[in-house]
Amino acid sequence: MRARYAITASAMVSALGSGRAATLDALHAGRTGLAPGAPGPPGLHVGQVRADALAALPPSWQAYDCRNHRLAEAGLQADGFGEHVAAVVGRLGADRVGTFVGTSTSGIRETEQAYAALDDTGAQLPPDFPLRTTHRLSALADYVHGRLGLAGPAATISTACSSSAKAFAQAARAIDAGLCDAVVVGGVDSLCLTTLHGFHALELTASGPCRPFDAVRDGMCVGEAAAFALLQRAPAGSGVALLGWGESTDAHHMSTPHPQARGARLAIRAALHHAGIEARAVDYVNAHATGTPINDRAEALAIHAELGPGVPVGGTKGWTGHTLGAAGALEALLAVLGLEEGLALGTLNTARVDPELDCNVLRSTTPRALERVLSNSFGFGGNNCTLVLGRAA
Amino acid sequence: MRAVVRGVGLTGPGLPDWAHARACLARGGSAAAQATARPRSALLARAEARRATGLVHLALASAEQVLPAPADVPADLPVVFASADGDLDILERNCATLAEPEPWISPNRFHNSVHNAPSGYWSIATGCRGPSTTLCAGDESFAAGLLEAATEVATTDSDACLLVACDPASPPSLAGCRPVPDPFAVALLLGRDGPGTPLRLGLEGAGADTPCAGARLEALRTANPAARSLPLLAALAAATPASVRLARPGGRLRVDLEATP
Repeated sequence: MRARYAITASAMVSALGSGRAATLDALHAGRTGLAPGAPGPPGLHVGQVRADALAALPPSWQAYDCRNHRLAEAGLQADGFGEHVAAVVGRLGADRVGTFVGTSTSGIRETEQAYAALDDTGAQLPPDFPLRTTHRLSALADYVHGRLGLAGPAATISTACSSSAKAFAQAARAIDAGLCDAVVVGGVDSLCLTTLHGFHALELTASGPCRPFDAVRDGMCVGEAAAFALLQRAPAGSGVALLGWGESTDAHHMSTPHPQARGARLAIRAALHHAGIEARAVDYVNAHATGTPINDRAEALAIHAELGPGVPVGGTKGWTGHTLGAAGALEALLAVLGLEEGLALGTLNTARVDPELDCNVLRSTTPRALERVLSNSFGFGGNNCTLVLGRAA
Repeated sequence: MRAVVRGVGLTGPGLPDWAHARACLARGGSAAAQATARPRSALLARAEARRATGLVHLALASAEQVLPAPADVPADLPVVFASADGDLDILERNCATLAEPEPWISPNRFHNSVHNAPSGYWSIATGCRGPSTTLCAGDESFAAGLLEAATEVATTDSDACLLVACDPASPPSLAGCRPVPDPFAVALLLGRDGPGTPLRLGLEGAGADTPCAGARLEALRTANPAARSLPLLAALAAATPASVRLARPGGRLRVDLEATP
């Protein structure tokens, strides 16, 4: 029997709103969070968090003030997450609770703005520019760890779009190694010019709202989110838990998936093996499903090859956009919502599933009792992570 | 937690590789006052070598001292990369471009900007498809990476894990707010058991971390986050039992080196 890691608290803030109730409401209503009007290349649809959903930082944390940490703070406040962590810290001790969080660009927007304010090329950012507390990737783990008063091991994981899925794996390993008894895991990424212009330069951005797995899909929409969960070693019957994970690397290309999806297949296979389950025991797959022609084709191939053509597959980026370093955690928590609510989430905006993909893509959200679901996260550098979530039997 | 160090690679100022560094550290000496050579990794094929950045070459130049050729790399070897600031040359160029009226950053520079770029290039160069993580814990990134690499060999089916920590010198525009004069990279191949220097790792609370002997090495240690590894490397070079404390988020990592069997 493999170890299980119970998800004893969770919180999410995305373009769908703040917290579980607002998120569920948008999912039930089929209401997208994608809209035009972001900074960066004109006309892009993005999954932007509403300004009034961001939270101010406490006065003693002003050195950390930036959009990414306002989003992180909003996440810590959502659904009483911070209070739940405080209660667990009271029982276990701060040194037994760690933090592993993912981000791809942290508070880089501050640095972009600081460069824009320089009056000539060759000028220096001022010595007091708060690089370490806003933009440095560790600032996110420092903020979460410090705000929650934790003293266990901590780090920020940054493997592009698989970052916060891998945070779950690293957290579970830390529990296995006896380094801590509980871990705050999650991911936060916020809109910035680097990713908006960068994906546009790679010709990966959609002309409108993204349509994962659609026959005429033409790209992704960048989004932003904060998502947190508290992982603890799970006794049997303790609700929804992380059951296993698989990680791999493509060894193929920095920004294009392997055409036969070798890395993605390895990650899915390793996740099933680690969870100790057969492919037929998977009830639903939350696909990475960015909406780009190449990514969705490779992922469909991997799902078909490792799980067969029948398993229901959905992608949630038509709701939230691709939240990059936060996507692994956000979508793991959407999968948990599906498990708890008995919902197989559909693929919003997708009108006609690409007939060349031999996969059972769900267009509509349908009630369905789920026991075990997979959540895929694949990133630049060919970095892959698949999580298995389900009830701790 | 236990692990053995099976191999070490190093690239730093006045320390072109681990053979030089070990001799220098073992006699308690100081690195020569030289800039870090701009290494080019032989692991990368020509096309990838051209696309790769200086930080990628630096990281791979230390890794290839431990695993010289793709044939030496197990296809499923887990890898941990640790860096405080990632590729600051790319950051500087991207941010400068984004500040222009026509902010068109190049696709190559965008995918090179991800924190896991060295890990991606390493995987392409060696064909390794094992789990690969890249993390950041600020100035304590090496300690966090060492802890994760040791956790990999202690808790997973893999009996080895490669750790690479690297941080660049600061480009001109960032020299004021992040003054790091020299790049530094270190690679450690950890194993679960077998030949090598045995380590025991444990967590401790806050306190003083182990300094370097000699002013120049100590200055290097405190300047570049990846060089926070130097006290551990000095103990490995001395090959005598020792106890090293490395600052980590939330406290210190204690690393006990046992006598080499």
